[in-house]
Amino acid sequence: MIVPYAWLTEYISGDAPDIEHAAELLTISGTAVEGITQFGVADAGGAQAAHFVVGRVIEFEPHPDADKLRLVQVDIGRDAPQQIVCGASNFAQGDTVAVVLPGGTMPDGMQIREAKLRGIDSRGMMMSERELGLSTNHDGIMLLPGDWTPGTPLHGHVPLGDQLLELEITGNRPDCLGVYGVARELAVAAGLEFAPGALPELAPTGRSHVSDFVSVDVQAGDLCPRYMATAFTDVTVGPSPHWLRARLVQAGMRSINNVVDVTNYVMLLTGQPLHAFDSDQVAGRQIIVRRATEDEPITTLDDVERKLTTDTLVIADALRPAVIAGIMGAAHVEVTAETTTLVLEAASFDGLSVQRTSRRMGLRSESSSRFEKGLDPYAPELALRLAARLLTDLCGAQLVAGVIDVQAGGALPPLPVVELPAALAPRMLGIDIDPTDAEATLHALGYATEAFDDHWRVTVPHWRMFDTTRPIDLVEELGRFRLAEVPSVLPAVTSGGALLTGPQRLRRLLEDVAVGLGLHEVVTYGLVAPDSATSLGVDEEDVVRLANPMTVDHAELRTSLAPSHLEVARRNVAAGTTDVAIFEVGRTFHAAPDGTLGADGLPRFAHERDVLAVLLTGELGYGRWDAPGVPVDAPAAVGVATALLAAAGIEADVRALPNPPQWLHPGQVAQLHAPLDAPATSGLPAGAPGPLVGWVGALHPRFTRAQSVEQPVYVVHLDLAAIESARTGVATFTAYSEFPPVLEDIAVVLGDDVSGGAVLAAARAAGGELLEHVTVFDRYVGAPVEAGHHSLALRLTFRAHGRTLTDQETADVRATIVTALAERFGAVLRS
Amino acid sequence: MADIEQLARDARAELEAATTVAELDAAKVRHLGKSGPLVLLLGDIRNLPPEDRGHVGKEGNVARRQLEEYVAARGAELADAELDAQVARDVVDMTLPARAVPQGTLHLLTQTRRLLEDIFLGMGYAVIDAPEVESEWYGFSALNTPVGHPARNPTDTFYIEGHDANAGANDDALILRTQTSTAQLRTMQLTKPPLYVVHPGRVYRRDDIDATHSDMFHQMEALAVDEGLTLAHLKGTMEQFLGTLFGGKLEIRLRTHFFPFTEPSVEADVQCFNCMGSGRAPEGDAQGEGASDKCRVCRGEGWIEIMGAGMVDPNVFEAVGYDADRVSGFAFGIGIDRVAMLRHDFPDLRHLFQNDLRFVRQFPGRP
Ligand SMILES: [Zn+2]
Repeated sequence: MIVPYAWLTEYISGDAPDIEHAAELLTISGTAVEGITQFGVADAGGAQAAHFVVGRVIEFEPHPDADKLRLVQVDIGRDAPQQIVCGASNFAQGDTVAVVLPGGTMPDGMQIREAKLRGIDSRGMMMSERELGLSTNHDGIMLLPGDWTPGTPLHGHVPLGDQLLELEITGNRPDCLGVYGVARELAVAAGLEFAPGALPELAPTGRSHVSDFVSVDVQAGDLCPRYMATAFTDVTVGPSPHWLRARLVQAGMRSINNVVDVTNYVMLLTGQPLHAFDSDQVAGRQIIVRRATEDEPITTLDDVERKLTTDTLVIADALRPAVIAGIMGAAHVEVTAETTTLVLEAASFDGLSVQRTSRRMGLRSESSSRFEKGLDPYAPELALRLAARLLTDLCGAQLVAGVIDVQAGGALPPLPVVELPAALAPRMLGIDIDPTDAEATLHALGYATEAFDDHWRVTVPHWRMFDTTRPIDLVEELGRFRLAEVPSVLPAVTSGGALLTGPQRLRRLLEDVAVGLGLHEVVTYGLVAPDSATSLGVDEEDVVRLANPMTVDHAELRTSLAPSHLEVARRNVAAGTTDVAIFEVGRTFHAAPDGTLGADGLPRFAHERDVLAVLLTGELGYGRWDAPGVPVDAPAAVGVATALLAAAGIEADVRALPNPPQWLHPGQVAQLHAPLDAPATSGLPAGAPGPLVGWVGALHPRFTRAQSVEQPVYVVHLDLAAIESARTGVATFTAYSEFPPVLEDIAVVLGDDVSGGAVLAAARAAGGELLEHVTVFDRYVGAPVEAGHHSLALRLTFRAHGRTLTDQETADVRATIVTALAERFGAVLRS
Repeated sequence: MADIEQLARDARAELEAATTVAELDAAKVRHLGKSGPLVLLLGDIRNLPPEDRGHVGKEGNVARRQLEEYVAARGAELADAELDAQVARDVVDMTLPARAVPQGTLHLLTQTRRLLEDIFLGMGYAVIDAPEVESEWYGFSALNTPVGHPARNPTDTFYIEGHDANAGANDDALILRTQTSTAQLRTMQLTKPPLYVVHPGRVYRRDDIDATHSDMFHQMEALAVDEGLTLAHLKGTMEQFLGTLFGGKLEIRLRTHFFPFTEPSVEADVQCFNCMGSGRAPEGDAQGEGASDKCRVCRGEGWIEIMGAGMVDPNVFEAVGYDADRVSGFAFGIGIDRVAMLRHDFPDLRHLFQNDLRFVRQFPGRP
């Protein structure tokens, strides 16, 4: 909201602070000043006051050398007339005009100097409204009322300039959506008195009664707690006086006509919007406050025909809606130059209803932006009385007798009365507040207090009745003017236990290890393109989709990080970075049925899992300037995956995944398992894998090429929760043998459908305690091994604790392994 | 019978003629190996007449030992010379590009998140986790954000398809959380006070993506609940935290604000770490095109708006079953992305999520 500062200070008695100080005081106490701008003539009431004066045209003649110029003699209250050369022609002898004299600085910064125009001396300028920023009117110069005395400063009649406060009003403070409210805040913050002047009484001057002009029927009292109306006769609609137009323009509104301007001025002052109807256009002289019917049409003031819905509150006449309540009026009841009788509405509408209608219709106004914050039902009376005085004074209007005042439920809601314990503010704020000072603050803000031994009984003023209803709200009232007094104190943190949790430490560990492996961490969006999940083979019903996405490509929650990472790869490859080794610890989402609980017993509304995802393409590194590096291939990807798991204390059991989802390479995907904990008691067959902790593989070339990535791409997916639960507590020491190992090599012939991982796992299981390690050192295909088969050479490392193994022992274990492989896979020992 | 002296002289001559270790070794084999003349002579000594055996044996062994000593000494000499020659040849231009040993980087957000976590871990706070898909109850109602609050609306908040009936006024409707404050509720539901926790996490808002907005960003929430906590403790904690974060003793300025879940609510400004609050560009600040004498970090304000905070509203305590008459608490939220932008001096939030490796690699773990 914009508040002209000089206007604001009219309602503060005493010397108001300069605007910078005022801005600071307001900002600290809750009315954030976002900017200070100059409007119109700078320092209009000070140094410039003498340069902008009232003038009267004494006489004029055509410029001898220029058809379009006039040579004007202007009375500016001095002995001699001022000679001014002027290009306008809309004035006559005796007209009162606005003159800027040499030495004056115009709003646009132009300096006025004595000058010669086509050889004739010109000492000053007669100004148009546009030049003063009062309107866009540049059809000629401003003509002023004839009773303004030549030579008097213009600023005394029209606010020529002001400094504007741009304010951010928080949602809890609709009272600050008017100049009064902000002035009250500043007065309290500056230790001055808020002095709005006496509220004018309604003084009927007409002979008729309001009931002669209108009746009001509030049929939707739930949305309209109060509806006040009165009427005016003998209205002369015309332009507003200059001061009023200046105020409106400075506050960011346009001048329409004197009637509309008065309603807007009172709204700017009080925050309470008003609405004026041409009473002759109100069909049946009836005002009905009701919900609209479905698709009921209204042509609003902006000349747009709109269709209403049944939850829209309208102010209707006997025939049709005349106003979308609190938002915008209809064209047919608009006040025009022909209007002579007015109905003036001052009402209170349900803020939520106004907000919803305004949003739904995409229609906002100065009025709706105030009503939607929830205005108090006492305010309409204040606004009505101020407006009645101004309409009488400025529009020649006669106020009729009687005021219609319909209150929902027959009465206004009572003002809140809050019991404020004296100890509460110090307890919350950490400062002592003198009780007298506390009361003074509350009184200045409009609260009434009654002191008791240990508490105050505080009656809340109507303009704060929705926002201040509890003791803690009053604590804020006391605190916000004392924030600078609040000391800095460190609490003695008593909860203890400042250590990351296991999963948090695992995350950091894996991040660090990934970095050590040469991977760059990325951060990608949680929202992905529609059907991302289903294209990854995720079931339709497992996907969490947005009901109201902002953009097409952010429509659902990701189920995998791979598509986003492929996009990162694509961008970087396109930008010339062809070696992309990245990782991210990120969250994936799958739909959870209603009633799902987390491990902590609290509800979960989706299955959210943190995963560590890796993408590798190009070279892994180790290149030289004169030689290429290690290309990313399947073993490299498995190496990265197993290195990460090894860092987490898991010796990966890598198993083939024969039928991976379509977006993965059918021949290059493996699952990663933790070792089976306590296999003997697990009930699983020897060599069975432990818990699944992730997978590693190549993306299908069709999938990557769709993203214009031609080079092979490998990904790793590790599930952090699965890893955490597969880790076996604190690692403890295992004694190792001082005796030398015995190495033995065997080669077995296997069908090509048998995967190495399974063979190693089976060998490990069969080898028992004496088999320290087993690995593959050769894989051979070709004669004499028959087609569809291959020969796998295993290196067995045997070792025993506390003794040297005998040949017989190693031979026995070796035989056990060979037998197990034969039974399990049909392996044949090569001689 | 060969003359021992002659044999020794011949051997010596050949050994001395060797100029390399290899030649010396060859000469050594020829003369002192199994079939060297002197060795053969000594090996055949039992076939000599008994009266010769004594002096031949003695002289022969002396000669052999002298030759062996020579070989050892000369060998060491030659080996040294050869090593020197080889080292002299093995010159590598060490300034040529290195072999590319892989070196990764932690993303700036992770670095920043850890820094924030660590500051609070050091102050005795625990780090907690929380879900991102939430109900309207967790996201709004329990945070004292009533129906009708602008944030609680499908124009501002993402709702989940199939769970958006009566969105904005339905505690069971599902949303992507718009602030990390949801974690306050969950941790209070699980734990009795005293409670000192922080929660870094991801939040979502229906904002267009531009240099300073994103539909997804990161916040860290701090919550302290204990007996006797006041606004002064909030201020002290902020001062400690922000001073550690930005370095130095920086003043905190509190401004009254409004958040539904705290009362009183404040916005906190921290004295600008770049100009130390003066608002003037420090000497040595980039003076490129359009440079001014105003500090570019705080735009001449001297203060940086850094976080929203306040005393936990009693209604929030009531929602989780805490006794507001017994305990009080404070909470604040700070933008992790924003802290990263401030500390590392880049103006466009989108860098953080575009993942151009040329950006990612720029921040290899400098604190
Ligand atoms: Zn600065």
